Amino acid sequence: MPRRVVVSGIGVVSPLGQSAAGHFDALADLKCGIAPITAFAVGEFPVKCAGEVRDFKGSKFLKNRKAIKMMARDIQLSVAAASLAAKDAGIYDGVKDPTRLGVSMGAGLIPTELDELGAGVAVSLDEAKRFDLRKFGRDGLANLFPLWLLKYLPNMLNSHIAIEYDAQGPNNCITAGSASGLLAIGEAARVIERGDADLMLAGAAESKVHPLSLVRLYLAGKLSTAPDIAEKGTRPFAKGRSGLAAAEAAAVLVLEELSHARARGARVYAEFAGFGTSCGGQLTEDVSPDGRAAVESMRAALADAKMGAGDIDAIMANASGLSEDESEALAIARVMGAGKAVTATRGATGHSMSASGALDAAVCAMALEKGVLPGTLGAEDPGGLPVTVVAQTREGGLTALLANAFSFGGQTASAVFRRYS
Amino acid sequence: MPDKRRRVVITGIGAVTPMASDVEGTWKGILECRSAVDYTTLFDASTFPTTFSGQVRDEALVRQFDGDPELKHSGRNVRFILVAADQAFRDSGLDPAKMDSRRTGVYLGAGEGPPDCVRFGQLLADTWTGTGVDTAAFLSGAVVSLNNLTEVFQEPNIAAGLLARRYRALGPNMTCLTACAASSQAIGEGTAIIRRGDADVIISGGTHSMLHPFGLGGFSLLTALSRRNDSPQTASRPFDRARDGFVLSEGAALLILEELSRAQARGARIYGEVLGYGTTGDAYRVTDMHPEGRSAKSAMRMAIADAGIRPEEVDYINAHGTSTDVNDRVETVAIKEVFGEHARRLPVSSTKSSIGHLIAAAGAIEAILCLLAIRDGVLPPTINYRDPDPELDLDYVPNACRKANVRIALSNSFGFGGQNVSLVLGRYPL
Repeated sequence: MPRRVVVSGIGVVSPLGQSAAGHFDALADLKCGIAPITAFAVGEFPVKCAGEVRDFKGSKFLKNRKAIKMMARDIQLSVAAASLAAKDAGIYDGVKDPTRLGVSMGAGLIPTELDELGAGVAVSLDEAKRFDLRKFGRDGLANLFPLWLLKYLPNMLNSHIAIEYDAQGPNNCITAGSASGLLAIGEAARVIERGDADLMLAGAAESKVHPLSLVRLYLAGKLSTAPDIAEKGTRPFAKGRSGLAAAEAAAVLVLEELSHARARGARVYAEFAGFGTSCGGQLTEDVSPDGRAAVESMRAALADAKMGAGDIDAIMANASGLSEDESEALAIARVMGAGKAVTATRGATGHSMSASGALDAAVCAMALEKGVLPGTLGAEDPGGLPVTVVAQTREGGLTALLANAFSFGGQTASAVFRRYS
Repeated sequence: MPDKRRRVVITGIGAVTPMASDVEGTWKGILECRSAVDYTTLFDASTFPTTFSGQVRDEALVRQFDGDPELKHSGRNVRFILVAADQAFRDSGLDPAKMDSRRTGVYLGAGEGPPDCVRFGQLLADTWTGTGVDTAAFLSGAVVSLNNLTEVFQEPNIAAGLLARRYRALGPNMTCLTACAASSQAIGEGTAIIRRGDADVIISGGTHSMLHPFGLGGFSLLTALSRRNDSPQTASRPFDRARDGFVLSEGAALLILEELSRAQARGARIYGEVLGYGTTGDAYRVTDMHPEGRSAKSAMRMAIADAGIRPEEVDYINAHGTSTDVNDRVETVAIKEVFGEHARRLPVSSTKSSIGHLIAAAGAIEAILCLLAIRDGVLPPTINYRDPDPELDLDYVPNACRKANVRIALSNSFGFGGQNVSLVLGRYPL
């Protein structure tokens, strides 16, 4: 008998809410999480809005509150989502055998806080005010936080979560851009299937609400400057889409082997039914023009779930308002047939990159449990694209959903979630 | 239970290390007890607390990509792995044009690319107000001074994407970054993918270069690096009483993992088999290893159980052996506990004594060295072992390579933050 994997806990911290239910309800109400940036001054920079988690206090989610000073924003978001997920699953105070509890997180390239490195650089200038590496080595380093490096290592999401919940089992950190979150969840499911753990805290966190991250996305031509972005979002698949909005978020699922969940009477949201990955190898688009990798990962996920295209009620699309949304729509049509129902959340939340696929995995599991499929904020005529964008939130009759998450760099991840009954 | 019907062997290897720009040169240097560590020349590190490193000295190798419109923006990490992958493919005899793209995947343990230190630092300097960075000024300055592709190439997933494109690998594609355990983890998880039947070939391994002012500076601040600035070649001295930290190195190592029957059907040369994999988390502290090596032990036990062997069957351990006070002590304790009486007869060496610590790429090069130990019947030494630490009393294969019949080797990789990975590699056929 193959070991089956279910979702038995969910934690979300996003621009739409600091709880899984809050996030889901705001999505279903077609609220927009994108708003003027408050974390720092943007001045003349043409992009003024992002998906921020406002009034976030990471320490309140921690058992060991002192650890907060060792955590970059991404890590704080991740431990918050993990805390919510652990509580939801009833494992907050630990599990019977901690060696059977693992951690699998997706993480991004975490940038240093500018003020932190700036303090070291500011004392490392020559007479012409040029940054002088010799001075940095001699004087600059002494002005940095001694644990500076540890604060930004991607696997520190895993480390802090493992410490908080005494997770001594398998531990992996996936760093594949915007595909990271869904890949980390898929990898966690594999670990449970092959018998190396019974429970995994799996998900991702990333904050792109950071000056350096904003600049990177801007230089890559990805950011929208649409004036109505705070009301309509970034309008995935819409004819008038003009780019994405940077965002920050975290989502963690508790994945659990089915009989283990049953034995302890856990609430089951949905079954993790299938997973597929591929890669197009392009450098700067999240779907290659031929859409080949997107097609491959969706087909692989369906095959893994032993399901056909007709068994999938809707796609939680990767689309975020980029021109590449068209390539995803074409790929979906190739796999699923024309006119498939798609809903896209990145328009409402902004694009939290690594975290985005984990957020959608959380939304899939909740949608299947509630029988509610959130609509797409700002949905409008997809301009001839062969998909049906779900504009209004729908109730009833969901049996399976497929989520996509694709990275700049070419990695594609697709996962199928099935209603558990 | 893992599906043991599908077995995974290694049919191609490649490497770029501080010792040499290929596998055989690296192996020869290690067996000859040479040190690849010397003063850092990539930038002026003379004022840093540590002035030396394991730097890849083959600048022609790095520069060969300067004329490529796309790759000229890539960091050293990307260039290293492209070279290592070419070597591994040639070595394997596989022709990417004739492979089933959908059955070929990539799983790397890859670090981020080097940041644009000088330009980024200058931006911070120019926008510093005395108490913090003026973010509005930073944003407007950065859009002018930073380069899009130079930033893109810092993403850790770029290498896996480029390999997928180059070798037409449309199968599973992953990058993990579990610090110093990353590329061992990649080999273990890549093996799991083939065992499960989701691919027949996985291009695995790792690459990393933290040899830049912020990387070297960051590790210095953690007081993790050796500061033996008067004697770089003897700075990495795992298990020695006078060890004072690890030596930061850069490089890449690549292994072609292939399903056994496929490799046999094409008459491939088989370096060995991935017999077992263990992964655990310390769940202890982000700054220190668990003092009894709790999860280091469970990682080794998990790998041994996965391999379906008895601990007594392990003939050689390639230790994580960083040359830090804590790692070498805890690893020794953990090995003694896992192997019991057998530990007294079990040779354990750290090749980081010769080539330093390749961080995310460390596990992959060390897995290759285990395969070569199996192939040649030679144990690589722990060099610079002069003054035994009374508490550390294993057979560290000190200062000279040694002939030995190696059927099964175990390789440990322990990452900052408590990521523990062990791999069991075996001769094929055993």
